Amino acid sequence: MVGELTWRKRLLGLWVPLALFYVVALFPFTWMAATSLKTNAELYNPKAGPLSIQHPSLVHYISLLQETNFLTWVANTMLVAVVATGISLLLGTMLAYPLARMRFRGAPLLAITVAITYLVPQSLLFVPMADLIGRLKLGNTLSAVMLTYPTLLVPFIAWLLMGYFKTVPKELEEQALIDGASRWRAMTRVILPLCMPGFISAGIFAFTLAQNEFLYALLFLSRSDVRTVPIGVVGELIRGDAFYWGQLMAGALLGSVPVALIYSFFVKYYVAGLTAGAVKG
Amino acid sequence: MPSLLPVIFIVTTFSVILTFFDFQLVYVLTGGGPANSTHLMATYAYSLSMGAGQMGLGSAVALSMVPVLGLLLVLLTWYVRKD
Repeated sequence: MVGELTWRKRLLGLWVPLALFYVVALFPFTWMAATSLKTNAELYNPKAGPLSIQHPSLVHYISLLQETNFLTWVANTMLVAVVATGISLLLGTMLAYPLARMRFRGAPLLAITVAITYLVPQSLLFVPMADLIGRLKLGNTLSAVMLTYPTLLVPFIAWLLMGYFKTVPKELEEQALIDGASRWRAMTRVILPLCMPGFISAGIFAFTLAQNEFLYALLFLSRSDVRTVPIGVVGELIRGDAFYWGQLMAGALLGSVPVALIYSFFVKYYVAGLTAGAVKG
Repeated sequence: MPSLLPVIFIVTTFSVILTFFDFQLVYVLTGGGPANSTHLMATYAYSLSMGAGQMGLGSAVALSMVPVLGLLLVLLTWYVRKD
């Protein structure tokens, strides 16, 4: 009797709510997958249910790969995201370390400025950015977005890492200094290796942000062969009021595969990093 | 709850800022149409400065978001400083 009761409680208190969240979270993906696997005739048939597939076919995937530059977009996105994340991790560490570890005049002010810079949205900055990129003659090159993404990513990464650096005990570093290490050596050999989970989670966040970034990519990349996945898919599969739903959904699904892979591999660090940054505010 | 309050406050402020300055959702779904009825500030600034080529007017629309942002940031800074 008791066993049955707890089993029931577990079912009602844990599994049913969990299942609800699961369904809510995965519902868009199910719809995406179902849409991308249907033929056009079935897709535009008002009598067919949106989630049922009668004649599964890969026709949209094939036309996505053959008629658009989808693979080029994927390669562009990966390149841009990796380079932008690399630059931002380097600069972000250089910004976060002194703010978290050293005492100097104006440090608190600078720390708040970093948070504020992170919160100033792209939609406010895009006009001057477009002007700048135009003057530098970087339009339609991947360097344009590689250079502008760090403006979003550096404050974000620095802000996350500041929280993480503060969780590493100061004594470790002091001990290295007493043992005769220089400040640089204490930092690179003692503190930074301990912060690996912080770097990994900040890197994943930044990578995802860089991959999903929309406004700057839309502004600076108008030629098809330099576009990133979101811009390419939206720009070439929505023509005026005509949505090519099957190919759109195929592109969206394929485009979300890399992020899903990265997240599933690093989810442990990701969660740790999330709490480390969040508590600092 | 009381000990969660700072986090809730910060998350709410962030969410307000992100929603207020949202661009891509509106741009992809409606593009501001029909007849400019679904524009947010960001998409309106974009369509003025890039679509219509009126850079000055677009910048003005974008800059008119600054007071709201400033208010939110002052609130946030004040709150973080307090504790």
